[in-house]
Amino acid sequence: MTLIEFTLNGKPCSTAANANTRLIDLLRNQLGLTGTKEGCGVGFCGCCTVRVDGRTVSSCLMMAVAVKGCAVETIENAGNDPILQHLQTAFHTAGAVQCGYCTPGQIMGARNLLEKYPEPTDEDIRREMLGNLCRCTGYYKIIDAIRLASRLMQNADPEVEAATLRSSADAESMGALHNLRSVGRSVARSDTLKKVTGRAVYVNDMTLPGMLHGKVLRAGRPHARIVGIDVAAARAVPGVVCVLTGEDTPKIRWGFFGADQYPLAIDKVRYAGEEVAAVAATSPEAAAAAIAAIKIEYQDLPAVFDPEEAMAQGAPSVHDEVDRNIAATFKVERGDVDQAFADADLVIEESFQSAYQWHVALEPVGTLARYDPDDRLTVWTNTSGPSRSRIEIARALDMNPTDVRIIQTTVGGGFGGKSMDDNNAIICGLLARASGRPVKLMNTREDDFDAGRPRVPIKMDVRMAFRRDGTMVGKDLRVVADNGAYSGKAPAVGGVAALRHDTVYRNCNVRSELFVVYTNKVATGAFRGFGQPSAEWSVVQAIDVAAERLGLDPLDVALKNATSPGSVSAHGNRIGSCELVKCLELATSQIDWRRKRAEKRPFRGLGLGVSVHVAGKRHFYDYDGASVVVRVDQGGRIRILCGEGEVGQGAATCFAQIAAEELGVPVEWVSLSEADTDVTPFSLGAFADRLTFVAGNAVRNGAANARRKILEAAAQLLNEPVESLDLRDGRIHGASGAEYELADIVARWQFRKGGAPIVAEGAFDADSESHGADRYGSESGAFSFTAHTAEIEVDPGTGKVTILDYVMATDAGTIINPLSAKGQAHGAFMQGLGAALTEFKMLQNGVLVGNNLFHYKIPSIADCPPIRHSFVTSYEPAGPFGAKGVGEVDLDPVPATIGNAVAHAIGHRIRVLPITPEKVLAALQNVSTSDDTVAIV
Amino acid sequence: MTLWPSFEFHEPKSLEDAFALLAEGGGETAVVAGGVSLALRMRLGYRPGRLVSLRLLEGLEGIEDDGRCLRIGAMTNVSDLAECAMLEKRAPLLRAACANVATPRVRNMGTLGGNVAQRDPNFDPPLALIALEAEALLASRQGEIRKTQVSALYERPEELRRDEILTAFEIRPQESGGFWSYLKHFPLSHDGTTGINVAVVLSLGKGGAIETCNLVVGSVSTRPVHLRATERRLVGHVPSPETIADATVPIADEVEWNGSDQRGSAQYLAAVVPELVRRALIQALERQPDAKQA
Repeated sequence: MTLIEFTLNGKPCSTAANANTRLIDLLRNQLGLTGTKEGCGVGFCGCCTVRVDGRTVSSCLMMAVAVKGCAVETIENAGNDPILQHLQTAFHTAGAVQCGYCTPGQIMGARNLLEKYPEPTDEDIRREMLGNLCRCTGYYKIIDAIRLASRLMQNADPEVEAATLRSSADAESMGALHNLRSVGRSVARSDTLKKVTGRAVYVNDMTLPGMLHGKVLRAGRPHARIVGIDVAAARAVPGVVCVLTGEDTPKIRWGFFGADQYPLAIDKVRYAGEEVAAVAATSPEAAAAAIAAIKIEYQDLPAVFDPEEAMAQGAPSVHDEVDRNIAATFKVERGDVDQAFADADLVIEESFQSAYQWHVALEPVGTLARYDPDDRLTVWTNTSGPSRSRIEIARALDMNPTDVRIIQTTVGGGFGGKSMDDNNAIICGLLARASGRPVKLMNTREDDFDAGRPRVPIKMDVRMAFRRDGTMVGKDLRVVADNGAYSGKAPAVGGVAALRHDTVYRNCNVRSELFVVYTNKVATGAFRGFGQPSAEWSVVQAIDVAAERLGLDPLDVALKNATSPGSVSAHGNRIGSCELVKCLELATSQIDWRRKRAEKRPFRGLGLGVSVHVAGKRHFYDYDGASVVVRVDQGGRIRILCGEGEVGQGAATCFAQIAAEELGVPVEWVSLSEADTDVTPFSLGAFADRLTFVAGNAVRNGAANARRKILEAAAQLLNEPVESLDLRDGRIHGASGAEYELADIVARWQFRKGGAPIVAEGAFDADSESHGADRYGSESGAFSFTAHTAEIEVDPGTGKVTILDYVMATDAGTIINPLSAKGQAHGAFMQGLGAALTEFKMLQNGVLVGNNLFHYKIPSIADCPPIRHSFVTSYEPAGPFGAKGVGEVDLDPVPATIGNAVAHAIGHRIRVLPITPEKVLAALQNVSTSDDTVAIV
Repeated sequence: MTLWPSFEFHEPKSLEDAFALLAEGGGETAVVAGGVSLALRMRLGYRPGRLVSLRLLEGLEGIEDDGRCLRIGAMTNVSDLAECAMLEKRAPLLRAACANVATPRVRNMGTLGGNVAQRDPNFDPPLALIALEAEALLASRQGEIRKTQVSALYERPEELRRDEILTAFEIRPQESGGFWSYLKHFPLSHDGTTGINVAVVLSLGKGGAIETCNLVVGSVSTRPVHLRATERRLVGHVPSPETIADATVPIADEVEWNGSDQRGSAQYLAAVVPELVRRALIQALERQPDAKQA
């Protein structure tokens, strides 16, 4: 141990540390300053940015001993630093915070920027903020926040600035809602002040007395029989409390769509990231030493990596009991497809392939679990669906769900990657039960790559039939989805990819055949957009091909086939509100589509894309609903017990706005509980854009019930007819004009003979159907639509695609919180841009080539192209105050839109995602790219 | 999340003490400059037994200019170099290369000497140093200081001996208003790191013909590639789109390209690097020399 004396946030600090202690560990673990976050451990993501002697550094790359005599500043330094305070105010006000995990690092980076450039140009921001990655916001609102902070430094009035920002966001979304007080307004999010100050508690920020540190050993090979495991040396490592292998578990397989995975491998391993053993020890060092000491003897087995090969007779079996490695399959036909093709003027045949995409939520997956002597397991984890996680954890641990309590921590981004298809929480529970002590198991960034559940790569063979005027008359799809070694949500993703896009178009003759196929590769699963980005990559581009062959403007073909309100799609989706035509008109007029398409310039191209998304889906347990408890508390404030959780998208604030509107109280009076399965009602959690629509309806319903109960109580207490009473602006108004405080009514109702609290339930189940074998029925209660246009330029010398202009017009019904919803659209777009241009993974013999951010490229702030996004005026009758889903739809068409633009620019179409410069250059030179450069095997 | 191995850590206050620590270490001893690459290597499994930091040594930081030669201390911070007005005047190519290093945080932590000592083929400053024919000063225990070409450190890994410490670089200043360019192309995300980088410095002689020319490309092979054959094809010619194209096209066949990585295959590198060199040359030639303005 070495004594380190330095200045920490303006105060002298003297502490001892080992030479191999990193600065981040000193700050977080020894000094308790957990505002500084770890996102990658290799200095790449910027979450751990702090300042040393006035300069930003990556605290994960710096030795603690190297700060001897230096001045260190962290996000907790705001008390001494007015610029830091301005930045915190600005990030909170401008909507620059979603999950908040990257935020402390962003703010510390921006702190440096504003010191050097008090009035930064766009170029200054892109240069100086490079290396602070954000996966939620698409960076646009971060740039807004930095500009706002710069104005605040020059004494701009924060109140005036905030009002200006909000009113400009609200202007386009108010529509017919002028009489609403809370809905349709950019209310500041309730969770972002603690995120900008570093006070939000993520799972890795928690410790419990006696807590152990968990670590997992992975297979590192794609397919092998486990011949022997020797853990004796690992158990002997000082500090090791328990070492588990598959033999020490209940050997129960689990999984949402097909229970096929064990928490720890039994008999064989089926992909390189598979968990084979786990340890818990008193220190991370001891845990690592124990993992290194485990000896496993494997007998390698022939492996299969390509889904088509895996379906061939004689291919290696990933799961012995599964025929031809087919995890899921269906074939459906609506109408007479063959006749439609026979009668058509044009038939096109195309084949497209999408790619892996990792979620790269800046906070990796992690869990802290405690097993109590009374056989109850408490799990703090960053899951996006606590109630569903409870069912699966209980199943895998062979416990009653009631004995498992899940408490959702602050979630540092999910995007589907925290929907618990992976084993992290279950292994943590097993370690806690076996050791009898609390155990924390945090994934590293490498773990998230090795054993996350990335987007399902889907190959789609598309045949489509058209009439001469562009009317689509038939569609015939063969969809092959790469399930990887285990079924996370890939079977459901494949199902969506095969069917949902039909919802965008007028009903016609369609056939779709799906194969979800096991391979010896990383298991795939849910990623924002689900199957839609892959489906649109294929279908939207195929329609573009048809337009070209027919000599028609793709816009005219899109308008000709666009679905309309009140229609039913080929597979039975009942469409309520639908402003797709308005979206198409806006997205094309803003980019000047007709003129620019006519004036085709070399290497420039315009592309169009459309998509649809659900608002909830009847996926699980024949339930597409939500329920909440609304408590009208002492003091007249409203507390909503809601288990849906907050994954960074702003759901809690949205619910508060809906409840406040319905109740007639100020929005600041309403707060949401954390999701805790001991306290909150069963909730499906965040997926399929369901929270605003499904849970929002439950909240509205609960608020309406609470309002009724308040007024009934008031009527009885005041001896006035209930019809004569009103609750607005937080006060009860009587017929005589008298006003009563809500707090008084609540108190008088409780504190009397026969007193009672005012508590109301709210429940909602959407008008949707579970898909049976025929896959027919409305999968969701509402559908959101979007149209995108892109103008791009191809660099003919390098093949690089540059987005010159990108326009989005979205129909998401009433927008509950415009600033927040805008952030969702931006973030969705940026993830779509990554899928389109930069994100993919090379594998060698089934093993990822590199498993950190050096080898996987999410868009950076310097990649932000110019974008314009609008919400069109729309009202969904089934939605709360007319709202539908908003989080995913603007990711779905991005790869296809850019693909169409590239095809327009160079006259060649890229068919395998992503659109890398190599593929574009090869297309320009008419060279076929060797498949090994793009292979996903 | 990340564990570093246990190691001894020393911060000697004199070069003599540093040499003593390097000499006596039993196991693997590593010299720490900015520590960025070392931290990354340790995460990937590198297990040095002893680290010797140069942080407290005097005299290894800063730039001296005696008119004929710039001497830059090995421990000079990369951000300082990227923002140095004097360097912008005297060796703008090196300043530009430093400004292109990764991200602000890496520049804030990194040093020029540490950057070179890693001998990483992807790094930026070495391209400029090689193009400017810089020399590295290597000190050893005997009190000797040996000079060697920076390019030699890449051609012969053993050139930097384990008992030596890289203390400084010496560079001839670029001609005022000379022709140079530094270009970095990001095939995927613009992330500061995963690019292809090109350094060019050249001079024109009588009749506008290219008199001297240094072209160095990074991130495409196992070490920075000094395109000597291309230079020979250019020297003596008056630059024109045709002469530049003639000189750069053959680059495709002259380099041992790295195998496939996420940026693309060897085939892609061979297709795109000649184009990037062509662009770098044109960019250099388009730079309006001050001399002509005067």
